[in-house]
Amino acid sequence: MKEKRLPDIVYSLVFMMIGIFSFVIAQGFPEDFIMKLGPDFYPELLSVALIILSLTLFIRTILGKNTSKFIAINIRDKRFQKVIISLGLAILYAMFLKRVGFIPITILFLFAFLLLLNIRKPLTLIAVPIVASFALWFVFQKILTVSLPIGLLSLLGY
Amino acid sequence: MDFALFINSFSNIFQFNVMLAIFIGVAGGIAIGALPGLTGTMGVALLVPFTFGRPSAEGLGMLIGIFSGSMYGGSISAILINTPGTPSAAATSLDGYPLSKKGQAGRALSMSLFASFFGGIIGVIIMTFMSPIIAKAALEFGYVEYFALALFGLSIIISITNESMIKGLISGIFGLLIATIGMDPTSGYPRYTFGRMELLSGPSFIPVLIGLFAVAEVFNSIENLSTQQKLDTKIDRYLPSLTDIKRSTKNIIKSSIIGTAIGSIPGAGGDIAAFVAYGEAKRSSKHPELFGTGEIEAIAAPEAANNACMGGAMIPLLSLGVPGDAITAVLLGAFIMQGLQPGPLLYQEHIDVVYNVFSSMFIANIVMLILGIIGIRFFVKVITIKKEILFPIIFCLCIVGSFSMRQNIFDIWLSLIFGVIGYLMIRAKFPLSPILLALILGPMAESNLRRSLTVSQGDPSILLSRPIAIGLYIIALLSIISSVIKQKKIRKRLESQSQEKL
Amino acid sequence: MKNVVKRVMVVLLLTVLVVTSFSQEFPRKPVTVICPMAAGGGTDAVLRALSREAEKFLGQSIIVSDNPGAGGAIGHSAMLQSPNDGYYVGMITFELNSLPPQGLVPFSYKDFDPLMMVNQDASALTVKADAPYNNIAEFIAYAKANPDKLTIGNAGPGSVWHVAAGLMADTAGIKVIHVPFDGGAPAATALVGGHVNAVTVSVAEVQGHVQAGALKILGIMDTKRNELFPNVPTFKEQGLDLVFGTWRGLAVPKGVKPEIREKLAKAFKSAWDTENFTTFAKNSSLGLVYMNSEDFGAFLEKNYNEVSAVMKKIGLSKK
Repeated sequence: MKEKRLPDIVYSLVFMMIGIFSFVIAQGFPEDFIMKLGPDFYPELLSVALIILSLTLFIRTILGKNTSKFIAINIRDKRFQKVIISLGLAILYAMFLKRVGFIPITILFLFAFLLLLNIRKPLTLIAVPIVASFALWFVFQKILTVSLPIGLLSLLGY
Repeated sequence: MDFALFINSFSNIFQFNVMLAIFIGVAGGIAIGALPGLTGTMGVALLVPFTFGRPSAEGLGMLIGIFSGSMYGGSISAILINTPGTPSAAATSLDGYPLSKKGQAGRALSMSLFASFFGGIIGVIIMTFMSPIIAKAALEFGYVEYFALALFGLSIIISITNESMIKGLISGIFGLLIATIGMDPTSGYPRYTFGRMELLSGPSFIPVLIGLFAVAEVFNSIENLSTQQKLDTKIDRYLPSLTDIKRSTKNIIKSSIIGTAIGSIPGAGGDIAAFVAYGEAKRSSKHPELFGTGEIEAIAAPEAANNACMGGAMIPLLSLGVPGDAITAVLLGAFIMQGLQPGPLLYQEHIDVVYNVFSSMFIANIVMLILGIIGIRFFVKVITIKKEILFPIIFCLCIVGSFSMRQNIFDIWLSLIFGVIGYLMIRAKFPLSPILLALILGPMAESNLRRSLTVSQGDPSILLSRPIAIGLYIIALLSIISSVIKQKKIRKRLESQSQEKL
Repeated sequence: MKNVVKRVMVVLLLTVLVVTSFSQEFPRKPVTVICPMAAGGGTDAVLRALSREAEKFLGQSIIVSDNPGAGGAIGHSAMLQSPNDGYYVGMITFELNSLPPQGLVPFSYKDFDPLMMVNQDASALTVKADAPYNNIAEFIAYAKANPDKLTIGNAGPGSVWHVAAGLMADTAGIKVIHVPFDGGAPAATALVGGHVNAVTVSVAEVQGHVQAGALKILGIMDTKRNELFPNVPTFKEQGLDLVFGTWRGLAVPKGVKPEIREKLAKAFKSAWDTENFTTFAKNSSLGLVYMNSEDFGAFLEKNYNEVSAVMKKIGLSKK
């Protein structure tokens, strides 16, 4: 029972921190001399509401009145590690998108992602990334005229 | 209402060029609506070159086609891959995706199409016959009423929350706080931007939407990949069954009226209408506890509402000259270019143009139905792709979709951050839709609250000074009370059931 | 693995071929024009009309994107956040010079490269058609009898119409409540619905409602009467020496290549000259004033100093 409570205690504390944090920052907003209520009024109102609500959740959880279930996060769980790795891949993707360019980085990203999800067939591993990234590129860049980053290709004379 | 003229207007539309324009508009609208990150406004921009130097009926027909097409298109990706293609489809994904996971994507898609079609038609009918009355009512909406409307919209948080009400409220307030990021809507002071230029106009809505729904779902699915039971990849159906239609008829009619009413208020659009309709469908349902697990009515309601919205949005545009959203703004521009000033005079001087708009909307909805019926058999193919291959591609689509709105890397980070937030919140059973609702309604609530208090010089009693506003508060209160009572009853029922089992 | 590398190389080469074969001169894709005010208002109307004509000279479609809010601050900052590749043009307005003196926004006219001035519009005091006052003197008398009761809608805090109303109140010695909206059109609609007592927006923004008989104009802050409403006297004729209004022009964020700037300016100037556009402006009572990039730049600096002084005088600027 005790372990089950822990997550909601952590979450309510996190939301309480967010409330306190936004309240403190709102104190620094300038006064509005044109309108009576400045830019700080509304966020302060919300911060106080958030603090009260998360305090209620906190107390209810401590008292054992909170019946909601929680799917525990287990860091040693292989499946959870996959989530973390996929997030890492996405972060790398976003970081290098501009420098490397859309098509090459998307191919690499998809390739790595497929490997992560236990795809081992060579044909799938190669064909899917190439076809998918060219298809996305064609739809967004050519039909919808979104400028996707060119990246490395600019070195080749674009 | 001059019926001879109205019937005559159909002959203006039944011309090859005009029909072609509507057809292209609807098809393009469906495609753009289905792609995350691309909204109807962008579709308008892309298809406008086709209308270069064409007569007004064609240009208007195409714009109207895009409008209806994108409203339906958004639900396709919402149902199939939990990625609402447009904000208006966010409510549809709540039950559409669970249905699709159960192998009933065809059932969900065909109901969405059916509801969209009827919603659209009912919206047009209401608009055709009641424009002047509704326009007058829309004028009654001042700052106090807008604030009340926003509060009413936010009250739906209670009815759409399944598990713990307090967690729903925390999600909602958290969303409202996120909505305050960026320049203050009244003074222009940058709040919580930490010096980032990209945040000045607030966290952009589309990347946040993609993050909370699609990215979070990808994370969630990766984790459950091996445990997922094999999907029934046989396509269930392309047309809604009679039982489903019977079950949803009441909701479709009710939601279409809600959608038209909300659409007719400038500044309130399909996204709000869809959530209000969803909340109402759930509140009045005999099995509200099943909402969120794949209820067919939960797809019919928001889809009927967001398409009906279009008829509503035309009312203030045509009779007051006030556009309610980006697409009607483009339409306004198209009118002005033709030398027509929408507004009170349009009905007196150019009633033929008004009728042309009405009949194009009828036709656009019919074209949408036909294209949808043909298209569904291709759309559903998406779920037959192996999950291990589909998820990486969805992830890429999410990233490109977030990027393409403003062509900004920052928006990719935004959708990843909200993907993580969404994932963590799903784990702890904090509902995500309150955040979305708060992001949509937050700015409306704040700027009108402050406007009201400026007029009253700080006296809060002004918020109770208008009858429409009081009416909205009462409806909000009643819907909260009735859903609280219902949830208590259900909890008791479930408890007694589980005790019996023991 | 080698196989993969090879394939990737082939793909890369193919991409280069495709990309280069598609590259042409500016503009290769639609150009976005950012409007800092709500759709349906004067700024949006003039911008849409001009863009529609400019498409023909630019050879690409032009997307008008409305970014209203915070009296124009949100739209102007959106322009500065856009890529400076020439595919994003902004319509800068009077508010660019009235927002910085309030000390709330982190930008000024110096962050833009002006392309051209498009129009200037005077403020007009407009009230409901059935209001008990029929001219400026009666309005002022009513306001003096009911201090802090009359509400005047404007297009946002620090927006041109707010400053206009403030200047009017200051000159006439009356006390009113200023109510900000997200642009002139929402303010005018609120007036029609009876949620405010008056607006000080431009003639173009109330024209439709006035012609439909819902609203009436009491006076115009211009040197001459408006062509569409020749019966409405100016403020000066009614004994209140007030000439005040907005200006609108096109600009790009700093850093756009000069040759692209020139191309844009040329296309929009050609559009400005078309008969379609001038007829549109006349029918919607928009005042047309053109200045080229250089004159517009000089104007911006001069206007900035004047506006700051006015705002200081009427107590709207940072103390």
